[in-house]
Amino acid sequence: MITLGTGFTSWVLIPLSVLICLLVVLAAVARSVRTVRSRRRRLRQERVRPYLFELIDGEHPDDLDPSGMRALDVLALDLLPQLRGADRENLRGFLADRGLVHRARRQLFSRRSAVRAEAAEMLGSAGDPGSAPMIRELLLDRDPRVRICAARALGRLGDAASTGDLLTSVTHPTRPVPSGVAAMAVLRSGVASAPALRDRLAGPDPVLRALCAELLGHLGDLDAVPDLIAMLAHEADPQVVAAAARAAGRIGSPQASVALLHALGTVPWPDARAAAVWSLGAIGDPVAVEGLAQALHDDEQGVAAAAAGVLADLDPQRLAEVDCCLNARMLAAAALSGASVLTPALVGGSA
Amino acid sequence: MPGVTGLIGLVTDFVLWFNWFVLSYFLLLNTVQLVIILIAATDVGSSIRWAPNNGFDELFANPLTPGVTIVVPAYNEATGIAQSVRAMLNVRYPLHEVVVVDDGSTDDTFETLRRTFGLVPVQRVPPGRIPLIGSVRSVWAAGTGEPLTVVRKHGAGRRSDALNAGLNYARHELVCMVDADSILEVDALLHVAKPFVDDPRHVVGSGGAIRAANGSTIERGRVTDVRAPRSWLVRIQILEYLRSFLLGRTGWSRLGGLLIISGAFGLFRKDLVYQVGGLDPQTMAEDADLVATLHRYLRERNRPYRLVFVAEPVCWTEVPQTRQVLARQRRRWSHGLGELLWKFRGLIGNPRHRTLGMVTLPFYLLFEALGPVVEIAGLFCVVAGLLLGLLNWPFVGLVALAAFGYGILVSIAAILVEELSYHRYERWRDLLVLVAAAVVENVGFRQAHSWWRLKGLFAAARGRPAVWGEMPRVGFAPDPIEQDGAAPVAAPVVAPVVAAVRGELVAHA
Repeated sequence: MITLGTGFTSWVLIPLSVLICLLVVLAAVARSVRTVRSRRRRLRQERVRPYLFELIDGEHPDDLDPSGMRALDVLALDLLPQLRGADRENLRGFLADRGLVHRARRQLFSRRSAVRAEAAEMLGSAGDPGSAPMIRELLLDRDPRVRICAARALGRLGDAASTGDLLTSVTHPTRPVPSGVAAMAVLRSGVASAPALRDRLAGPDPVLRALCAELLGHLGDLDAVPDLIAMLAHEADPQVVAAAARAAGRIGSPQASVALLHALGTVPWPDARAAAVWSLGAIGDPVAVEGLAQALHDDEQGVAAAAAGVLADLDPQRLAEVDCCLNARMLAAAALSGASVLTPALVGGSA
Repeated sequence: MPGVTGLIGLVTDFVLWFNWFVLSYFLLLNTVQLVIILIAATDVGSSIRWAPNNGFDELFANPLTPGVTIVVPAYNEATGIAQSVRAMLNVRYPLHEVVVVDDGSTDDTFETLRRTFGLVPVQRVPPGRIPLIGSVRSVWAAGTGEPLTVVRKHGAGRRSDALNAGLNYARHELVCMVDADSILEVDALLHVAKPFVDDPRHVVGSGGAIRAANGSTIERGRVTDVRAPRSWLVRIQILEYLRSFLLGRTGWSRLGGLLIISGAFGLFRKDLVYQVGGLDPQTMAEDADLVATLHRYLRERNRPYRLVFVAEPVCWTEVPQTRQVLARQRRRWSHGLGELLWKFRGLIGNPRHRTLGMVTLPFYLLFEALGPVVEIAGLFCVVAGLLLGLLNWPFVGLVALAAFGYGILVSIAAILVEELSYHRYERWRDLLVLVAAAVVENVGFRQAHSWWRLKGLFAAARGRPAVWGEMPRVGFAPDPIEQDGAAPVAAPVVAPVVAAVRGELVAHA
């Protein structure tokens, strides 16, 4: 028979029990500390909140103790991104006077990536234009999270001079900035970034060409329409054609209608044709009606369905034709997906 | 009688050897779990540190943030469907739609939806072409103008078939699969979509943390007061969700070997889901099956990819409250796991599939699938040892204390990580309840759990057809709109075609 001596109890059970108790105590201590800290922080912030409104009005408090000033810094930093105009300038002035802007500039070169990122975010929120060149360097930071924060900060600064760097960073081979983040930063710079975007419509990288076209569409840049029309006619990359088509639709210029109709009838890529359909609907040019009617018979059911929708909006007299097309499409889709029977509800409207 | 003596000697040796094997097995299992929790803790710590710079406001404001279709399979979910769908429609996200698939419900699921959202029939051409078992009966859209589509189909008894039907009607580039009894937190979608924006070249799927909503207060589709329920069965499940589903998956994600993105809340690139043919309707573990299929598909094509788990977003779900329902659920999970491991047996130990093949799948085979076999056999051996007089009670008691103690240590470590990071349970009482649950689960629950899993595994081994079955819900508090009985709007049936295709336009915009 096997027996276990006191050694097992001493060397296994007692240390195990002690460890379990220790972890429970740690959890309890963590909770207590967190509760006390958050209560203290809340009380301190409530105490200094009236001073925040004075700050926004341009008056600097001079009767706050150091801990109160630190609490005020936090409140000011939280509020800053939500402010505009003189209020923002007043808060920014306060933060600069407190040395926070200067400190954040230094922290851009910290060894800790979280500190670099936080500094970039802070400078972006503070709208400190002098820090833009330093933040631009962080677009090539080794930590992807810092690169993202840097791009966002540049966007918040509204620095159109950074547009080129932001776009280039998207296609960097080893340290790219996500296209969505860079795009948002460019959009925040507004129409001032449009010339740089137009310059890159003829660039060598299709990803960048597509992104620039999309952004010009979102900016509603009328000057880009001739370039977009040229892309619809001559571009060989499906993503770029789709992006150019969407951009033309967002800008809404009837100048692009003919080019879009041509693309709808000629390009072999369904996504690009669907985008052309959407754009024709967004422009709302009556000249598109016949082309859209032809698209009802497109090989790709998604394109045909989109065309049906646009046509129904543009020319309600064609609803019967649209309805007929949709029913046929649904029967085809149902057959493809394995459904053997379609109830009248699908085509008639009752359950 | 030397022969009998020899046989007794053999049995004795085997019983002793097997008891030591079982003890070693559980030490190893708990050690692996502890290591995974520690790895997860570093990841959770990092995400907490970076939380102030998460940029969700920018993500929300960004017109280029990819659109998401939330697909919700529903079978007899009348009790909570309105609240759940309301919460899904109200999540904070720039472009999303909800597609509910009523999979042949026999209760008021559809009527509840029709009344609450003023549904109207529409004609819509499904953009996807995933084959279905149960055909689509009709398609409905919200008369309220909300981006809600309800697909009614003939039930096939397969959740995956309902999901495939929803995927066919998805119009955005990302698809999020959510259970009908789940409640999403307001920023949950932003959290799980962020990896797709931050690393668009590689991320193909992301999963969010699931927590048990039982006992918490839910108002207007929001969990407003998190608390532990009274039932020990549910309390133990809360601990399980914390240990295995939150920290376990975070750890696997960090190791690059995430196998399961829960079917209750997972986000995927739609084009890839279409490329792999949607979800396999023949399996019970369709969520893990999809993840493993994506792993295999991308690895075989040498395409770089990432599947990530995000610990912070919370999807609240109702966990089983009775032993019978829980037993059925766990049998189903075990059945699904058995099928999954058999289907992907070629990946196990295959260095080409890196962490998944060399670490994750062997772990699931040795500890998740075979765990109940070892545990139940171990119990029999202990009893045999006691009856044969090979073991004495003090020995069994001390070894059991050591094995359970290590398990308790792992659970308390998970509670500590939760306490240092997300600390969702604010009451002191709830903290104590979770600690107590870590102890209580060892007496009865673990053994019963092993038995249920063993039955599921045997069912899979015998190739028995998987049955989805119904899970009775208690449901959340009723939606005020539904309670008032007021249909929000009159149904605008004038031009269903136009209503339908406008949706298409949004998708292309």
